[in-house]
Amino acid sequence: MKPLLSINKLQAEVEGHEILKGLNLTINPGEVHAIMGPNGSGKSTLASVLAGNEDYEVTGGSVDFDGVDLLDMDASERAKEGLFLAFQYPVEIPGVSNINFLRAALKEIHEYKKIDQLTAKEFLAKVKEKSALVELDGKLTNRSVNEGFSGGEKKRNEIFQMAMLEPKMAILDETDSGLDIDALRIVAQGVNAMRSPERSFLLITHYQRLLDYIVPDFVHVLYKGQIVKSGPKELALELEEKGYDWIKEEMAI
Amino acid sequence: METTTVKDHKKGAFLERFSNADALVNQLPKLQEEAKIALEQIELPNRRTESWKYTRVNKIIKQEWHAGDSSIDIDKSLFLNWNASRIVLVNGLYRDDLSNIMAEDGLSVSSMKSALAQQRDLIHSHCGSLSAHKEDLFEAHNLVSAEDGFCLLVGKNALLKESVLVENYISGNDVAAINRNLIILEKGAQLNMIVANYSDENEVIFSNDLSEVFVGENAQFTCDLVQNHLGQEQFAINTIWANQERNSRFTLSTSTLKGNWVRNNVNVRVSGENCETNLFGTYQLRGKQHVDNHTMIDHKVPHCESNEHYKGILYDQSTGVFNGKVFVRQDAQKTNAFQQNANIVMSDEAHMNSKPELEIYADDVKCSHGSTTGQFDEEAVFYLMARGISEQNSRELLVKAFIGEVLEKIHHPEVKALFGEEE
Ligand SMILES: Nc1ncnc2c1ncn2[C@@H]1O[C@H](COP(=O)(O)OP(=O)(O)O)[C@@H](O)[C@H]1O
Ligand SMILES: [Mg+2]
Repeated sequence: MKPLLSINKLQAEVEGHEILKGLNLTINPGEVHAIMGPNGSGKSTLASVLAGNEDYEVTGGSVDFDGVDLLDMDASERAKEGLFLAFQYPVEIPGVSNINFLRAALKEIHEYKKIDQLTAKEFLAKVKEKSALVELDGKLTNRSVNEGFSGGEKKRNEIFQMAMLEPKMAILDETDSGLDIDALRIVAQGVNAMRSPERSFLLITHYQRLLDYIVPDFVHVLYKGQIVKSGPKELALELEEKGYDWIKEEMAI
Repeated sequence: METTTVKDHKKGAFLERFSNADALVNQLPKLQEEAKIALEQIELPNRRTESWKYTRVNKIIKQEWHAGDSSIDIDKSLFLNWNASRIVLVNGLYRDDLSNIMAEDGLSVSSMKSALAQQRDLIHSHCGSLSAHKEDLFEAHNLVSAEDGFCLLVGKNALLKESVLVENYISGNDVAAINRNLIILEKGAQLNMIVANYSDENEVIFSNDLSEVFVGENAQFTCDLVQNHLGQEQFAINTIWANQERNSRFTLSTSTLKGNWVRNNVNVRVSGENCETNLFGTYQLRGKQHVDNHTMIDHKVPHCESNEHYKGILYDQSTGVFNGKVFVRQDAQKTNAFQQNANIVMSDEAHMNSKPELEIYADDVKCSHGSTTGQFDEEAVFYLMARGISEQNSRELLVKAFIGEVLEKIHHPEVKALFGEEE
């Protein structure tokens, strides 16, 4: 099988500090991978670099995404190629309505892929369907992007946007952090509904709890900018029980 | 250092160019005397002049201005499909042939020249009764040099259904256009208007445009001011003085679409209780543009409300000034005064000077002001791009969103359309 995403010896720095230190990861179509790791190990940096945030400078390595050189594209082209990032901290954008900005995004994506544009009616039907999936209030879909949303609403809005854009690959950066169990269930339900043999997920999380709801195919540990351990889903349980110290110790040897 | 005599000489030479045997003021001896004294006494604005601290006038003073040809043809309107009343001024003079006033009950429009001939008492009792020609050099300059302008009267309880459009063209080279207008709304009258000031590329012009607006008891006045000065060497001063009687509303939006050097003075005296005053403004400055918005709202009596909201974006090496004075006098209890100026500075070389000045002498009032000047929210750009929107479209979306809060306050859709608003 041809991998969907293959990250090869990726190095990246921010403000002169090297954060990713030669990271390797391969994700095949349809797979769900979880990345866990202590705070500050570089998880969000990886997500940002993949999504094309220019605050981070790639200093080495390569990333192939479904046959294209990911690092050669800007953030908007990466999204058009089918990469999606659910932000750890979704940005509030006063004055830009959720709906209008999604309409603008879909319009550009359809243009890029040379597929027919949705009619206004089709678009609204899709909004209705996908917002129901994450139980996002219709009022919120019409409001300014994330403005005045609660923490849980912001995270559900990320999943709503993912559902609208139907990416090939979605990276969820701590989408579960700070959610109560009901919100977590809703988010997981949204993700599970989107799982398919073609679509892959990279779940960045601190908590094994999420993985009870979205069962991963692989679990990786990111530590000091590298994947230091990979295993089946049981690895998450082990990490939850034992913490990261044993990994740090293994590393020190 | 310049000596006093050199400065006097400069001022004298500047004013000399504007001596005009046909000036309106020649028939208003009391005002003429006041302006003459003021011009002798007031220094040329310089860095120490508080109200001109960030706006340089040297180029205006040095240039050899002359009066323009006011009979030229004009074809530059931004409102080609306008079907209601249209007032046209060219180089400061009222053009009867281009103006088109619809017959509407209660509406009367004429040039200031003919108003002075035919409605002497009206002009005598209103002209110069609000303006600060005793304190400000350019207001005094306007008074001594203006030869014409428009005089618009809306009679008692006349509710004009159609808006009135005023188009003010300045054209030529080294041309100065000075005009002075009166707008009078009698008790219970209602008027919506658009005022558009234009000048073309590649022309060197100076305009000093002053309007006095009398908003009578229970009258409603709404005006969208549009400025579109396309050339590099162009200097535009636009001054509005308004007085509000009780239960009246005054709403003004100022959209500076383009202007190399623009100074707007908006002054509202709120003289009657239960008035509402709304001032909105937007500017998007590029190149070396400089736009200075000076506003003043004077709450003299209780139970009034004012809202002021100016928003701007500064690119390149542009500079902006906002100065918002709000007085709440001792008697003006229960005043609600809100003021906000927000700016985004897009380049290291652009600069904004924003200064709210609230002077509050009453104790039972609600007043707030805020001034923010910040950079573009790059996190928001990344967020939009991460959803598939191109960088350019993301930035445009955010600019529109920022300005949008003020744009939605503009009354006329024809003016909103100038910002490329769809839907
Ligand atoms: N924009 C930034 N500026 C400076 N330092 C940063 C920035 N982003 C991340 N870092 C640093 O990089 C390291 C990794 O951060 P991050 O990727 O957010 O870790 P994680 O998501 O695993 O908690 C941390 O030491 C953090 O302080
Ligand atoms: Mg993180």
